[in-house]
Amino acid sequence: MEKEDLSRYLWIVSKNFWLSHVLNLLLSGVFLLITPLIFGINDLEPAEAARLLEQYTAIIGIFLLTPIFRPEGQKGIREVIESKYTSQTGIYLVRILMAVLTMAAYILVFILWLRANNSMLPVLEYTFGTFATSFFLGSLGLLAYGISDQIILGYMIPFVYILFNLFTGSRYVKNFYLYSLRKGSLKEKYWLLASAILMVTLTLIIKWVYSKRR
Amino acid sequence: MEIIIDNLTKKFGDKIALDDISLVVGQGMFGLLGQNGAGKTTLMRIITTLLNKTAGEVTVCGIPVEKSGEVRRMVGYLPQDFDLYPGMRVGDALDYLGILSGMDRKTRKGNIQKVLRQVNLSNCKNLKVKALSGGMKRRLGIAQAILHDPKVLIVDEPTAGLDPEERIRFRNLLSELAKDRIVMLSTHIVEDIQSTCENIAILDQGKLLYQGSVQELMMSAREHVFTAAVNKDAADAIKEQYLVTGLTGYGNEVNIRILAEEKPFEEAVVCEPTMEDAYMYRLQQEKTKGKYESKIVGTGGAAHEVH
Amino acid sequence: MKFIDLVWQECRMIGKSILYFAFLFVLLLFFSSQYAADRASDLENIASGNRVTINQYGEKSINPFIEPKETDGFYGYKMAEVPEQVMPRVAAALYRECRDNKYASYPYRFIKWVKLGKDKQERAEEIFQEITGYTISEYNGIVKKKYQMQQGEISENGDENITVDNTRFYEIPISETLTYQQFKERMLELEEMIGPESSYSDLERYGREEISYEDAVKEYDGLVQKDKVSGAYARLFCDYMGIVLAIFPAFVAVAYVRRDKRAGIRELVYSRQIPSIKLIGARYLALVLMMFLPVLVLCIPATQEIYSGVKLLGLPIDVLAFFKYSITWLLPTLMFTVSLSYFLTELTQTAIGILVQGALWFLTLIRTPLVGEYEWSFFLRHNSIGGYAAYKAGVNEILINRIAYVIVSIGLVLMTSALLARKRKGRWYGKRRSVKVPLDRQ
Repeated sequence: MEKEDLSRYLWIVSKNFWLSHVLNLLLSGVFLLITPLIFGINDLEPAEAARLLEQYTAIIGIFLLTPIFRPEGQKGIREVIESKYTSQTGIYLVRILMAVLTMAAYILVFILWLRANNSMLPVLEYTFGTFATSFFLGSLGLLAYGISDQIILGYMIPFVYILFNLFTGSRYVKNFYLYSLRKGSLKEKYWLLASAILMVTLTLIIKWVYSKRR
Repeated sequence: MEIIIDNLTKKFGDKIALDDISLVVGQGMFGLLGQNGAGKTTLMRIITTLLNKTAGEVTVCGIPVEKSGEVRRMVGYLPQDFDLYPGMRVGDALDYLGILSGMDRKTRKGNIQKVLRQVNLSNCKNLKVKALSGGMKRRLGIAQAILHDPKVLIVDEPTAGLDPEERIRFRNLLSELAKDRIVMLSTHIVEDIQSTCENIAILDQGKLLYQGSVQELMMSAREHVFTAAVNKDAADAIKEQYLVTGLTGYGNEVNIRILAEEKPFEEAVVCEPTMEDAYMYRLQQEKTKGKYESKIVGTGGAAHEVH
Repeated sequence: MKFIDLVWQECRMIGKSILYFAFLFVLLLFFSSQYAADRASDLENIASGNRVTINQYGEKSINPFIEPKETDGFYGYKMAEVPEQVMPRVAAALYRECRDNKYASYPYRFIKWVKLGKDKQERAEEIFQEITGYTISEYNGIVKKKYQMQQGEISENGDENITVDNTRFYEIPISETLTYQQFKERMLELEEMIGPESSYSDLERYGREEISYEDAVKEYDGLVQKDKVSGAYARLFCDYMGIVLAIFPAFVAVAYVRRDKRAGIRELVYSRQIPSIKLIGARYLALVLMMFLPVLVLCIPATQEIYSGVKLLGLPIDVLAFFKYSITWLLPTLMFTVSLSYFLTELTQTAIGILVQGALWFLTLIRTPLVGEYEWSFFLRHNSIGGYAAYKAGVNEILINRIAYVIVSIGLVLMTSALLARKRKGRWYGKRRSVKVPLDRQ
């Protein structure tokens, strides 16, 4: 039984990669590649690197994680998929995992690229910190999309949160501040990570409840 | 091989969508007849485990719907608004659905060929889903529903949006499939049922009005269907008083078809009921029991609803 | 259907959409957290009569509406060429740019990275050495050591020449023998080599000095008499609201336009008799109205706050200031945002309008200074109570800018209707296509 399940999920990964993931992958990739055109990536000091990573690079979380539910947006498709043996939640989890792993990989590679360009920054710390911010933003979008069933709201909410952080700093958001790496603080990152996981779980539960109620 | 529905009730908040339904569906083609909003789709979604029931028991081939995984392995569903990922090719889409149904690669390959042949879409394997016409899409819908060789096929409004030719082809296809399966289809179009189903059930506002064979239903309307040739003005007056299921002819002389308990007037002549007559008669009987207010009027052919 | 009825119907539908509520929420959020929060403390200070206040972060700020007195002692800062401040900071900039051979230059307000040829680069390196006493590679070593000490990789006692002082990577100590005159000569050289608007021109932006009492009085008179308090705060209000209106309406507009697609009634819309211009015009008007009215509504408490705060001081106030500024500064921004995103959505049938708008917004945000120099920005920034002079200098610029954006917006709306008209005739997709409206969808 278990071997069949594993094989099934591997196939699901492969199919979903081409169905939805590949576009987000490319979009995020392009987003990262054009960084030098706007910011300059050489010889950055740690604070400058932190700024770049948290305020710009972390946005890939929104591109990768928010649109998870999009392929089954139409009712007709959703019902067909729901009627199959594999649970919808399982499929979503597969996509979420792909998104999260891609996020982490991209961030790590990007930071190594910064290092290769003579920028000084502690690799592990900054990867973790940027990932936490990125994951948080993406899961905010996912939650907004999951609750409202409108993908545009899903893209909007993380963006509102970003602006709010940029303009009012940590005054109101306190431990959920997105840009703490510049001040060298990792404490907020643990909060962000934990809430991201919580939000993803909550979203999956909400989606499941919605499906049974319609 | 049976679907057994026992005292099934489904409520959405205060609204009762299905009221204490008990039904047995055996092998062959089974028709679920009812107007829009009668509860047909709700019933089907409960059988396919897409929706939770409020009360009662439902078993599919001996397995209760609570064990959704196992039930889904045995059931194929074609929903009313069927669609698939527009950018995917037909072959890929079926492959993906096959994976989701738990089929291994070899079985998938074989079955995809087979079902595409069965629905006559063999040369469309590389077409993208969005390029398919309405009829082709419906056929693809059947293909995906039978791909994993289920014992039960549930089809919601199979011929909606299809032109007459496609409708006939579709009905034939379903009949073929019903030879060694349970095929349950729901519709508000009487034609879909009368030529293909042996047994039917009629749902109206969540209640089961009838279950049994088509024959029996028609028999129950015997002696209650009349035709008459009248002039046009008289016809209008008659419409006010009686349930009219057909009106043909032009100009001043029209042929009118009436449902009534007894002969309505002198010129009326008893005739053999059609399926549609029987259906409307049954609905009318329910209404005259004084339960609701909507008035049903039929004009030449398909039944319309007038509020 | 009459045009006005159509508009009303669209307004009602917008009002029911969840994204509209999200927009209202954002508007309110930014108004209260950004604008209102600061105002509350400003007005407290007016009441208390303090010109100088120190906030929770220890930063001093000036309330420009209170008359400066000789006893205040502090009158704020202004940019100035203070050699002790300017030289180390410019040196740091030179270090970075020289090291990469990548010099910033802003010939057209967009950044252009200049790479110097071999001779010029050598001269630049020489200049660096002349200014600081280090060569580039020597300083590289120093920075690396600083970093390593910070990370705890080597101990502080490793080298007496290095002191780690709280990551002050932004200043480099200057050679003691250099005079400011010599420094400026070299700056001119660099500017010639690199191009206009490099890091080595406008040196006063690197330094600051305190404003004198006399200057403070002059500023105060100008502000209070000519501008009146309301004008200054209205500009600030428009600064914050402008940032919001330059991006969020795009989300609302795109979602609203795409709802046709979602409901599957696109074909229905295409086959009805309403002329395209009427349809698009009504929708556009509805979107702009629904999103601008809340802004006008916010002007009311904003004005009221200023009014009651300022009454105590007996200063004159223009009650219509907020409304006037909103209409001239904010409305064109909103019109542009909505028209562009609508057009792009109709053109591509995707949500790419949001991406484009976001990119435009982002680039404008990082390019524009906080006050003044309005040029071609589609939203105007003025993030300060003061800056009246900068505003006055830019008034004509602003006027042209705003009118231009209104014209562009209307142009985009016309293009959108032309696009829709073509689609309805079936010509957009390349061949004539009759529109099939399925029987069971009518």
